[in-house]
Amino acid sequence: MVPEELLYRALDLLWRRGWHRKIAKYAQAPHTARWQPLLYHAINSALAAHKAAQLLHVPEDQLAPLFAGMLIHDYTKTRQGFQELPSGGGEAPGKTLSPGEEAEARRLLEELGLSGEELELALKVALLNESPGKPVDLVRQFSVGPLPERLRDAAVLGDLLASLKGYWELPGRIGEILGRYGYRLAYHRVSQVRGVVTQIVHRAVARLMEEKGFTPLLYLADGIVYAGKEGAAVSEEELRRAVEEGLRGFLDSMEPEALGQAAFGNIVQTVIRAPELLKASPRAVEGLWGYVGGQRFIRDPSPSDRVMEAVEAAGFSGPGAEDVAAKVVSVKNISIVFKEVLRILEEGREEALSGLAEALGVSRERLEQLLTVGNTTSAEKLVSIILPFLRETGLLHEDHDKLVDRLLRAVEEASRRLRAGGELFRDEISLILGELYIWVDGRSIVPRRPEAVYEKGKDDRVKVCFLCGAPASYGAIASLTGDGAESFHNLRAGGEHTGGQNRAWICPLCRLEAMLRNLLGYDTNRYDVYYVLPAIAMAPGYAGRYWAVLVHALSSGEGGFSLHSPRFWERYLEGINPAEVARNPLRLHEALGDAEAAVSRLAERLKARYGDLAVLRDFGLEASDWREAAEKVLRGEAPPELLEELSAVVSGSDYAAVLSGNYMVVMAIAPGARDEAEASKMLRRLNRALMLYTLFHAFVYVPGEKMSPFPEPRPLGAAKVPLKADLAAMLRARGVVLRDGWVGFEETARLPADELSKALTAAELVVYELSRARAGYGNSGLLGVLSRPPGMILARYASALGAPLAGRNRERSRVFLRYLDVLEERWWM
Amino acid sequence: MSRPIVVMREKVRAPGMEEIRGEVAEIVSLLDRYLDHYVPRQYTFSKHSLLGPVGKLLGVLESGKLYDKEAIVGYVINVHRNTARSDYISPEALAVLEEAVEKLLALRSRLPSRVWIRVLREIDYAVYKARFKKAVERASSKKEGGEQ
Repeated sequence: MVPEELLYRALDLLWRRGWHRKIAKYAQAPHTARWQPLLYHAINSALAAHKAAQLLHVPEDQLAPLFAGMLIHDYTKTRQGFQELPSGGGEAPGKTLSPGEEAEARRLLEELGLSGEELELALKVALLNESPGKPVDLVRQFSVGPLPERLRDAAVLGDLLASLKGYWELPGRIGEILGRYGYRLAYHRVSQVRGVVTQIVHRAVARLMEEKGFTPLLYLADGIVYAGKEGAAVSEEELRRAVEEGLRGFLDSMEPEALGQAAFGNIVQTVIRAPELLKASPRAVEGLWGYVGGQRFIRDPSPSDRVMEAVEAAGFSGPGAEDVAAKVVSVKNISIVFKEVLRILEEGREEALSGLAEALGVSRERLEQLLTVGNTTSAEKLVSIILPFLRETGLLHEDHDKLVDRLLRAVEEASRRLRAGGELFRDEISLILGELYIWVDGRSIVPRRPEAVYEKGKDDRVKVCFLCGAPASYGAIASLTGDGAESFHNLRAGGEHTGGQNRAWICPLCRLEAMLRNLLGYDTNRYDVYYVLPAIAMAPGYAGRYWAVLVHALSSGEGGFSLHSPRFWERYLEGINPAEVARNPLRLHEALGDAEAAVSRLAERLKARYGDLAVLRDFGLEASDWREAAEKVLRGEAPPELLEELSAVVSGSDYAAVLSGNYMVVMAIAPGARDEAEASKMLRRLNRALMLYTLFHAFVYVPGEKMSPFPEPRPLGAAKVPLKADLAAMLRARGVVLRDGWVGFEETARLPADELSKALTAAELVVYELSRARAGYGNSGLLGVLSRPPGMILARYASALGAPLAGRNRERSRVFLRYLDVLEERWWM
Repeated sequence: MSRPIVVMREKVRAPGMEEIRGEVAEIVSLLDRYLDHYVPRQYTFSKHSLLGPVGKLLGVLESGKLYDKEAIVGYVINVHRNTARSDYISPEALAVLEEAVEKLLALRSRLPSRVWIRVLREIDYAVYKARFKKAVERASSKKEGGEQ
């Protein structure tokens, strides 16, 4: 049986047994470890052991017993005694199963498809994978006899990797076991997790390490652990090139229009706000002209009075003068943008200008003269330069739209002949390398030594980035970094005037991060950021594949599968088994009743992207038409490479997601009505995070400062979002466990994470129904519902309906009562 | 001149909502059962109508006009007879009502008045929700029966 089959079956069986609410790992000192539900610890140990078994060449027929045995290796932790340990009571269990537990474990193994010798071997693996904790365990271990050495080592490695507290543990037992089989351990780690940029770095370094013969073993938010036999050194030059290629690849995967829009700034201020995008990709230049060509300042400008006067002074009058003035302004604006493109893309200037002059049929001098105009050129001079240009090109009597089209075609063609000189993202990559640490077999390979700055001494005149503290070289722009770029903060002197250059400053790396998010349509002021960290961290292949399908489903659902959709909330309230969804996400669409639409939409997208089914066949996806291909993708039957390509970056109307094996960044539009109280929005945000936790088998972290980087968060629960102190107190009073802000998932809490999510979802549905009946609680929104007795809310709703039991209202009342019951059972009891 | 700081303390520790939730649920259930025996002259679905004599009972408990159990039960019987389709009250209804009033008075004796008012509000809306739910169920089953 393939492990993939076992994985999905195990997920389902263990979920049904409630292992997602049982604790396997807990930390009294939060900085040294993370909290893990037993479900994920079991799955992670099994997957890591399977991976190790492949490296150690464990015989094929022992793989399924190894996987299944590791699933139940901590079976005794299901005991109440262990579950009460974190709260100070309880008792640590040993490894030996009671007769009842053994019977239940055997039943579980049988349901997994094991029998006979395989089943007995799995039980042996579960008992012998670690040292005995109690004398009775030692006696039991002796009585069953030893395991084959390679099998035992794979089992031990599986548990050790799944229990890793930090990179410092690697050289110990893990290194020693792998060393016996000739493997060297390595890892790469970043000091700051920045979101999109860090994902690109992880992917680039992982690719480079694989080229050097290392196999990724374990993915964490801030790095990857590898094992390899050869392992040549990694040079700074190779790293630099890998990261640059990663950045170029990311930009190439974007739509040209999006690139152009992100590159363009403002015609009267900074014309090109992201010149690197133009340098990085010729598609960005193409997209830039596509984007500006549709803008009003070119397509339908409003000439100023001065330009009108200058045109009239040149001998035009009436409607003709207005038309000429509009043409003058359009030509001026196209010229300003082209001049900026010329400044940024330095190479090929001569060739581009000659080509442009030829295409427009004007002399080179006339063209050079046109390129002298700017935003501050006087109206008289403007008209005196542009009118002869229009006459010479024959565009003066052309229709305005045709003039613009012809001119845009010509400058776009000329722009294609331009190339960027110098190294791309040089400063950014230098900073990235400064934050990157690579360790191979006990030796650190640090390309740059940022501590040299400290040894030399700091310079108090250097501006520092207000987001991460690195040396800053750009003024922050509100559209990139959010509101607050021109407000007071601790890095500025008090009382000084704010504005112009006197504003917040950012470093090249934070600017790059902001630029990449911007490319995905992210608006700091309107969107929230969710870091989704895989709970199944040992198998990015599986987690990535499942996520890829799910993210696809998420992005293709307009009214159905969206975390903001009441239809989805209803389905969620009825109960979604994420294990089933993992197996076949299309089922969720079917349950939501939009499977047909989801398949059609994806079929269209696939056709637009690949054009020919033969391309999909190259990926290994056989389909007779686009519909069949779309169905296979949504069912998770597409090859991983295709899914990875399709889902590395996805964006829908309400959110965008960037995905790597390490984590996923979801940028979703802020929930709730615009004027809803912030405290209510915080609770909605918490619910989104808990929904992602349930659906994605992942821990979710929502940063307080959306743009700021953070050190790797160690999950101490299901999800963490910024909460006001009184909100945290309210949640605690309802029985929610909050550990350093993380919502506890354990069953010993009166309201565990998944139940809290149901209560909040019910409350969101109540708010939605109240507003439909025009009986909402105004700005207080969600908080208004959560702080009132259900009967009071019902009275308000019934009164708004008028005749609550008449006609259609009866069904509405019945549904509303159901939501209130869910809320009452969890929140008010 | 500095003013002395006045600290106000309750003499008895009031039980928290968590501690009395079971009792509250029991009272709600009793009042709901009592209302099963009450058929108003005219059916409407306003809160006032759904709660019938229980609304008046809770009102008199909130205002503190009556303290004695017998007096309170008598007051409710009077309201019941004046508003119900029939002025007959079954012995079961009477027994449930008496038990509910007993429990309400016992609870009142343990709670400070600010908590008591809050608890009454909770009971009021909880009984309303229970009655509304029954009304919806009754209407739905009638509808289903009609379609067969």
